[in-house]
Amino acid sequence: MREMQHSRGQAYVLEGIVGAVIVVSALLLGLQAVDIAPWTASDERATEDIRTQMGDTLDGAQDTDALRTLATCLARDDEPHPNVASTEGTTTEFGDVLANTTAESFNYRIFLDYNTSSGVKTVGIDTDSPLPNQPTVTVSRQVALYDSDVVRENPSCVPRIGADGEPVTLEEESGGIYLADQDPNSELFAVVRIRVIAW
Amino acid sequence: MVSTRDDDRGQLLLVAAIVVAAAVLGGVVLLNTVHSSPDLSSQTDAQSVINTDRTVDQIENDLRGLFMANAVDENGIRLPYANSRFEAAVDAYNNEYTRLISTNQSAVATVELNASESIDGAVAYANQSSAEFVDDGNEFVVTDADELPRLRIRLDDVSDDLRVRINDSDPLGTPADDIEFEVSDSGGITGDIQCSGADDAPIEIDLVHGAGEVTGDGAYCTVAVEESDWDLDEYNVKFEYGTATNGTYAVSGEDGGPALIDCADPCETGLVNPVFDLTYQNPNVVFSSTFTLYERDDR
Repeated sequence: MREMQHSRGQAYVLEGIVGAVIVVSALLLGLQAVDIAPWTASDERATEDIRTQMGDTLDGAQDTDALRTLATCLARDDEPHPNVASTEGTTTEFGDVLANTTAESFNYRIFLDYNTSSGVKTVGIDTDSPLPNQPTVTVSRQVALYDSDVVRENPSCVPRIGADGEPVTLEEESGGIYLADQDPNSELFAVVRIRVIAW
Repeated sequence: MVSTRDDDRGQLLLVAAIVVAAAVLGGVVLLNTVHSSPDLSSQTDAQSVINTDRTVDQIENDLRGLFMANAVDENGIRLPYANSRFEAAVDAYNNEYTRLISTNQSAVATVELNASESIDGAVAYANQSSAEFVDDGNEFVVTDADELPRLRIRLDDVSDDLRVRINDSDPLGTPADDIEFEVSDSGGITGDIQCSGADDAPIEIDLVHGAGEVTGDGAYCTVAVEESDWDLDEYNVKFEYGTATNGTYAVSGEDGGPALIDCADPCETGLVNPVFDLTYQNPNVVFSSTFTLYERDDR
């Protein structure tokens, strides 16, 4: 009899443990069903949305050659024109693309990177947005420029006309503008990168 | 006594079974908590594939632009053929592109002109200094071409109709055998390609192997000659035009047909359909392909 009662005591202990395991398991499963993932993954999803939309915007601009205009539209100092990405007032094709897509939804800063003999240089195109206060994404597109591409000027990026009455090309302006001819022996003038940091 | 022991054993067996079930449930819970790792990995892979796809598209577009920029006539019109400097331009693009992208990502792009696969030929084009639409008065602008990779016409005046006829017999055989379309200011473009809205100048027709687009003043059409019609042994292109027909054209033909290609002046010979070896590599994806600039697609 004493032996039998000892065995039942052991069974009770085991039952208690199993009961506890079941309760804890149910609790864990219940919590799992509540799925806290959205709390932790919301930033990631939001940044992915921004990446996708900004990427589509740049693709649209590239299809219409607006990115080429962005690189070849020059101010008086022969640096990229500060108005080239403006979405208000006098706008360019690139500014219109931005205004119709992402300008109202996101903050962004636009930079242009290009190769020089001393490494990659960066020039700011639109850096008016305040510093980011949340995770950012970077989207970039490369643009190949050719010797016969036309140089543009003024806030509306119209072709620059030379003394002969014809539009001036990058090759003709080489040496006087921010970009140098990266390969004078071929029709390739330069490869530049338009880089957008958005948040 | 024996019976009491059996009862106890039954209870222990039950408890053991519950322990096993609880262990399985616990395992499920634990495994569920580590699901994010493979998910994260697949997200990274998917992003890499998207980036690769986009980068390759972009490089192919750049190569199209580089090819057209390589040869420019005296009026600044870009012509679809490559001269001797094209290979140097491709090498320069390859160097500059990789130099730029490697500064902000672990990626390498390699682009090379595949000279042995690229196709030579000739391109006939309009010289705007001429009074006639075709400078030397010959209505055949290209004869004995193996393929027509690119046919581009810009009309600045359509008060006289322009009829474009393409056939595999020289001189052209019966009209019924022709690939034929006509541009007029009354009906737009009619025939084997059609765009009724394109009846006001300037009108631009741009075909790659017989498929492409037409843009007019306020009109846009995607067009294609029936694939069964665009299947000739050789291609002879004839323009029938009037004295008022005015504009430019560039028609490129590939060599390699039954006879040597010929074309009306002005005409240039060179590479008309280049082939490139293209490789893009990042830590997650290696992409390698051969890219033909004017590939004939099924339609």
